[in-house]
Amino acid sequence: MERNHAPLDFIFILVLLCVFAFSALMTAILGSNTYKGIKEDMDSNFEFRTPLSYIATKVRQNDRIDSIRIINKEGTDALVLEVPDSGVACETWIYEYQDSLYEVYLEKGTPFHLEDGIAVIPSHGLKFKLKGDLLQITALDHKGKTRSLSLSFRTDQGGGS
Amino acid sequence: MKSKNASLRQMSQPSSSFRGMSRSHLFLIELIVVILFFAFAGAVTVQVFAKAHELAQDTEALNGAILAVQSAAETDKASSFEEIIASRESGALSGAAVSPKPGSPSGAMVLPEPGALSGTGILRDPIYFDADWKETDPAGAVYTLTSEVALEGRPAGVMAVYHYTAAYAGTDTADAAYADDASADSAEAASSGDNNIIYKLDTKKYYPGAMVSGPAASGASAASGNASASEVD
Repeated sequence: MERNHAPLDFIFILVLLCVFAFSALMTAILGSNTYKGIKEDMDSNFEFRTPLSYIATKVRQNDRIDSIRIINKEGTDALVLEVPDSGVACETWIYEYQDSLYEVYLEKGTPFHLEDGIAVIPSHGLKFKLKGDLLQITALDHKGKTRSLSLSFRTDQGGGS
Repeated sequence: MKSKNASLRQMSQPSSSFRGMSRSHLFLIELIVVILFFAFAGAVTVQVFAKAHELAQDTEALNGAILAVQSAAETDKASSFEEIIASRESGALSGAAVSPKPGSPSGAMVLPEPGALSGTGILRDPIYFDADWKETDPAGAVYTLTSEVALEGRPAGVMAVYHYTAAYAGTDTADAAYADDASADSAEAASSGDNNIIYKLDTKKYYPGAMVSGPAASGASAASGNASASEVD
């Protein structure tokens, strides 16, 4: 006597297909999450490293005696680098404004507002701390994580904070 | 025409090995083979995802380690010779004298005469960092930064050779860092040996006029001369 297995076979195949479809979906979700995580990490690294490297390079370029200081302007701490330009004392102001790293280069004493600067790169927070001959720069990413970089000056900056 | 139909019927019939199997069985076997293939492909894909995630984590750790090591190096660069010597207070000998002499009191470092300082190092207290590279206590540490100073006597001063090693917490970086850095480049991410080491950096600073006199010299009083030395290398 032969039994008819057709309905069971059909259900089994259907279940198998469902398992396969579920596994494929899970793999796709896992891949997308992995990609999302990698992108987040890369964005964070960019948001940390780029402003820190940029400012470090600027500080190295302008490392002259008593030429680097931090000034609070309109409630924002700005790194001010003084440099003589054709006999005229000029200043480079670097600060964080409206989620961007701003920079303005002007003659010393020229009045300006924070929005007068040029947005250089995106920035989600920037802090400066000057302690003796050591400048500590702290950068934030879009998630609020922080990374700090300390820079020592080759020249005497007279301390201050 | 008749013979053609017969040959077609013959082709559509299962071979002798599959004789007796229903069409649904054959379909099931085919489906299982296909699913096995896709399962294998899926396993490979998941492995690739895991590897990519691991690489991303390593990259993040390396970025944090570079900043931490650079900051430590810059801080040392801004330090005077007296401060470097004073850092031995809580440290221990390392390098050629990794293990303190038996019976010697803790921190009692014996500095040889100038000119014979090579190989003598100061292993300083490690700095502990959490997952976000913020300083923390040893219990919550994910990363550690160990630094070591080897003092080499020069005719007119002392050359301080700094070794920085950033590693995952729990790594014995002191031995690992010193073991293979004799011929290492000035900066390198460790690729061999202990895989827990994230980043290593070697720097030098020359302190002209600095001297370390006599055995068991007290650090602060032993140093003299211009401590704000220029960096070499």
